[in-house]
Amino acid sequence: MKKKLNFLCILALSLLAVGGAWTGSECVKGFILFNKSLFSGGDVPEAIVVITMMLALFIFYFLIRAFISFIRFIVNVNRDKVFVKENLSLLRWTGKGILIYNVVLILCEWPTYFVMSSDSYINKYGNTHLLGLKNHMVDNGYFIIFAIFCLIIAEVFAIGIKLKEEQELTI
Amino acid sequence: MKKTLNFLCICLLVFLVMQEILPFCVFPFFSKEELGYPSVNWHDVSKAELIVLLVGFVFLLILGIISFIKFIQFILNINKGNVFVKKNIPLLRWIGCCYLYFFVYSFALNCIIECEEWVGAGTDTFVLGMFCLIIAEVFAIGIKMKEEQELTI
Repeated sequence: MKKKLNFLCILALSLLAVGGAWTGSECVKGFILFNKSLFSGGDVPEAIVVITMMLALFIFYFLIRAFISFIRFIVNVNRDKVFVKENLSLLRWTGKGILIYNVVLILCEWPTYFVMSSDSYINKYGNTHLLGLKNHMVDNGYFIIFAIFCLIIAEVFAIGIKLKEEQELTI
Repeated sequence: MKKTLNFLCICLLVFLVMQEILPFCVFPFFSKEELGYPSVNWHDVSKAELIVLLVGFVFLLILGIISFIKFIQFILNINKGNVFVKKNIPLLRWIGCCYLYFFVYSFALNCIIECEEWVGAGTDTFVLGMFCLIIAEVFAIGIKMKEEQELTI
């Protein structure tokens, strides 16, 4: 049981590191592309640029904190610290962070999609299709399921911690 | 604690059902271009690769239905307060393996077909799958702890 858990944790950590590095590089590429498309137009109001940047920083804080919390949780489990109070807050942060990131992203992308698919926008800038409606419906879905699942597991951990405390008191 | 758990379980159940139904309600009203489907070059795919993809897709459908049912069963168990029980471990292992298969299939699909964008499920299914397998092992520890406690009493 213990060996299997350690194997799974190490596998998850190593693949998360690869996935994180790949996503990071994609983010940098996307950010450069976003900047180019934003400033090449020339007529985008500065206020919109500032608001977009602030919002991006705000949601990235939650995403990075969720990612770090998740890694710390797996490291804790790997070290055999399973039913400890620290894991409770780590799992809650993972769930909350991913949920806030995706909800804000979906709320911002829906109006953006409808603006970009409007006739006046296509006539002015062409059919860019930077964002697809499919992505909102399907790609973010599993992450939201994962976030709510994390919150459920956090509550399960709270039950487990209570059980452990009772067990220690009995002994 | 119990109320929060019940609320979260109901949220997840509603979202799971919504995610399966919503695409069928929304997609017919939009064209492929509007939905942002990537353009796939099917002409370069050989017959053998196509058979592998089709067989994989059949498995994907079967495992998709199985994982959906098992996920709902697991959430209902938790909602009823049956948390550290043995039947939850195989449920979680099934869900984990199914999600990992989704990731592997999506990876194979992207290797075989030439496409500008990533098609199908991405890292989210992998993270969910690995998390389910880890939680299954954590549940095994919890059940052992519960059994020990019951023996002490």
